[in-house]
Amino acid sequence: MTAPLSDLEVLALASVMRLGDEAYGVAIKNDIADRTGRDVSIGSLYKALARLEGRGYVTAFTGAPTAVRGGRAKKHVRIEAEGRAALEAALQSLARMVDGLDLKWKPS
Amino acid sequence: MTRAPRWLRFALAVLAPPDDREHVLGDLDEGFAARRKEVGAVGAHTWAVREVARSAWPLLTVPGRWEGWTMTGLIQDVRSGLRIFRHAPGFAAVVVATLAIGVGGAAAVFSVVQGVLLSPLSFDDPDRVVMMWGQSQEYPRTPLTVGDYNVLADEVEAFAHVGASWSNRALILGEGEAEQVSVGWVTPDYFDVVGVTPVLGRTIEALEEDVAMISHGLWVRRYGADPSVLGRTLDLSGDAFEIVGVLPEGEDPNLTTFAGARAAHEVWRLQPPGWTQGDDRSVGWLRGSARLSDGVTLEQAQQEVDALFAQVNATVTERDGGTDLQVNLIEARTDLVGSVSRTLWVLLAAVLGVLLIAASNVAHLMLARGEARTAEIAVRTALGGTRGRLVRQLLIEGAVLASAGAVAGLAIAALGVRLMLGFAPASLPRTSDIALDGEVVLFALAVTLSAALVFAVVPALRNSRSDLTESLRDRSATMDPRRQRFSRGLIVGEVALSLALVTCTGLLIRSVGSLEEVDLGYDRAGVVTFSLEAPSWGDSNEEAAATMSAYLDEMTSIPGVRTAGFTNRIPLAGGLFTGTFRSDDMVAADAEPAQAAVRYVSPDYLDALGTPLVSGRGFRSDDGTDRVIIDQRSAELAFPGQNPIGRMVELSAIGSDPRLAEVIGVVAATRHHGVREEPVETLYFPMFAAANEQNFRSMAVRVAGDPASFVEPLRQAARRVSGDAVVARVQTMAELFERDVSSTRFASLLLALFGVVAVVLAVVGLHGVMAFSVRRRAREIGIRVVLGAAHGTLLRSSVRSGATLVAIGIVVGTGLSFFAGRLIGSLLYGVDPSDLSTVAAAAALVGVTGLLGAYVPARLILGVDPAVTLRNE
Repeated sequence: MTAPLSDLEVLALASVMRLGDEAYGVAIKNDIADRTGRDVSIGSLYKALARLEGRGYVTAFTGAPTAVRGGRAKKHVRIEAEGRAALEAALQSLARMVDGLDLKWKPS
Repeated sequence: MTRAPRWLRFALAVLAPPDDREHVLGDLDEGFAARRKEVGAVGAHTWAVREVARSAWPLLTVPGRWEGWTMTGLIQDVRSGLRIFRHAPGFAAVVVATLAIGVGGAAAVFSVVQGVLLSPLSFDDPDRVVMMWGQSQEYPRTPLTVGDYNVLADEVEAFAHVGASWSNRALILGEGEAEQVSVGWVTPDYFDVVGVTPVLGRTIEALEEDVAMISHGLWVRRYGADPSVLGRTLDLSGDAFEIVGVLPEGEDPNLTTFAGARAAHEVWRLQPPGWTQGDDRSVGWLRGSARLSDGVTLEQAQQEVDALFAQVNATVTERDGGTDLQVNLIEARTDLVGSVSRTLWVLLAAVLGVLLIAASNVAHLMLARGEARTAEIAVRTALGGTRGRLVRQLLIEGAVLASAGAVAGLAIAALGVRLMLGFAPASLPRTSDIALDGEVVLFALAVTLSAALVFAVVPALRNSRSDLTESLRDRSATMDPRRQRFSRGLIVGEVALSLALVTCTGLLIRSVGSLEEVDLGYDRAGVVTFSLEAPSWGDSNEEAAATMSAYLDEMTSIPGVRTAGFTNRIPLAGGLFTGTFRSDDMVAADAEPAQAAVRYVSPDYLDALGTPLVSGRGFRSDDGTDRVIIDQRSAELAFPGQNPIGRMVELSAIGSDPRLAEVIGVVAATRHHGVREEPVETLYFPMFAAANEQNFRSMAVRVAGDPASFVEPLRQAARRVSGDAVVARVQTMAELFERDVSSTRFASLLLALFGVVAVVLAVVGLHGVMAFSVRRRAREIGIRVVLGAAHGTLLRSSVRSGATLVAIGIVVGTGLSFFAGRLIGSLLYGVDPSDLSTVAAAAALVGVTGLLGAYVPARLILGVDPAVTLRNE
């Protein structure tokens, strides 16, 4: 049994999934900031991604360099089936934890 | 600029794992560009700084970040680093030797600095022990009067304990051979001030006037370390004391003497309580010391003492040392080493300069080697070696060389320390605390590490940046301009540093010369001095004078002894004895008496010392206390433009009432307190007229031949008068002189050594850079020769580039020399710290040597046939 996901890893996995082909460092960072208001540092994000990659939840590949990045390449990340399963498991356990509580958290 | 600031990108590049470096940097730039559009440059800047700072820890702890930094990886690199000794033995030997010289010299000097200046005194909490010396307009340093001591002891809240001491010499009589020892007369609180615990027995309690403590040294030497020594009787010049305590080895509770040396007491006894009671301020004689209360800083204590003395001085109308006296609190250790600390710091600075030159030389060598390996590195990069891995390997190679240098350096340091102690000035305190201990080894390691940083990291970063295609394509290109600038900067620095060192050496050598030429007011050659202690001199003045005459007769009858005389203070041997005087005219005008040094002398003493008589006559043995001899300075002060012979002066020595005396002679002014110290007004009193009042009886004996060879005959002569007589503190005048100038001589000797090493290293460095740059240009030169360029032109252009470096170095070094001259100003004598001729001579020496260093390699390399060079390409 691998260690459960940290909340940052959950956020990163979700973001990677949503962004699809456009999932790379700064884009993920901005996505998390836009949706949760949480300002994750580049370093923390890379560390989280490295851990996810180490467990086989995501795979990384080097993309094309762009001018705005000073001619430097992007590190793209793609979610794997195991990653998707881990994300679902994490959310399920969270849902089970809050089930039946009198919380008004569901937006819709 | 749309990219994040360079330094931030650099920081991030260092922090990031090598594999992610590109991506992280790209993200930073992208984020920066976006922020800049949104919130402007300042906001983006702030964001980037925060981002890098917040990322530091996560990036350093990314899983797998340190893979490859495993022990096996490191061992592999160390092994490949060691290979350098086989593949490039010459290179490795030069690097290790250069480093060893730098590190060894620095560690040797540091071990002296550490032992003398930095290591704490062997007391309890020694930082809290302070000495108390008076200071007034007239006197920079005076002992305390009883009145002032009591004010300090009673009133100052910041002191936990206050003590005072005083010393004299006494003979240990009874069982065994008589022996002279220095005795510390202390107040009961003294042992609490220094905070020592006896290894045997106890300390002295208040009111115990007939007990004594002895040093560990005396215990071992005289009593064979026998524990039953407690309770035994110590016969101290006829007075009996019960031994109640023995002090631990190396922890004698001795503080600084008035002269600034460490007291050498071996026996401690209490001062009679009456001596230190009352509010007498007519004589300053107590060496005050105190222990600060817990939590009180030296500054706070000083403020309290200053405030107290502002009050006290308002009520004081007369005081030895002046009514404006302040009391300075000086940390005991600082007080003890004050006189030599500047010398030692200067030496440490100088040797660190040498180390810097050595390190930059090694940097040249590493750069040049890296340059030669550019192609190898480029190929390895192409084959997949990451930059981090290459840097690491270069670093480890550097570390291997540095470690070898450090080990060799410590060996040199061990030798150097022994050498320095051999040459060390007698005025150097605490020599027994000097050793190559753990802290010195740590220092050497730290120094090597910082040197390694300079010489390995910079070239490593530079070399690893090589571009593959460029390196492989154009192997004959001249050096990368940035690298070249770095090397040239180092050379300029080396030349400048060497020049400063050579200038300081020159200044010190000239100072030693000036000191040798100083007119001391006596002839230091052919005189031996010693203190003479006899168990009894006789009760009356006549008896004492007869005893002294008996010693004089016995000594002057030794073949080769010319004259001999007694005094209370030998010049340059320390000690103070003062009084005041005024001429009959000054008495009539009710003028203030003037301060003067007071010397009791027997008739032939001044003759034995070689102090010339200017006018009048010397003492005869029947001259009474109504006769006085004055020195030229006193004569000028009291009788300006007049003949003092036959005139009357009013005299008062410490502890005696003013009396009138006739001036019978005038002698040359003498330097008593130091070769550098201007003579002070001195009065000579007839010693035979006060023969039984003397605390100190020293002798000067003028001999024909080597004074040292007369010591034994003189000792035997003294024993013929009394079997228990002791001849102690034997020193020739030449030795006393030597001791006085020894710290200047020592500093100049060491600086001369450092200067030579610095110049040699700088020239070797210049040679290396020149040789390298000429070789790099070999192809260009070859082509130019083939195209018909004259050999001389090429030689000139090559030498010119080296000469330019030397010239710039000399300009910078001249400025540095003036600064360094001021730094060593207090060590100099009779020469201006910014003496132009010395700087010019040093510049010429360094310049000529430097030019040779530029010319020789150019000449050698240009001598090679161009066809050969081109074929090699």
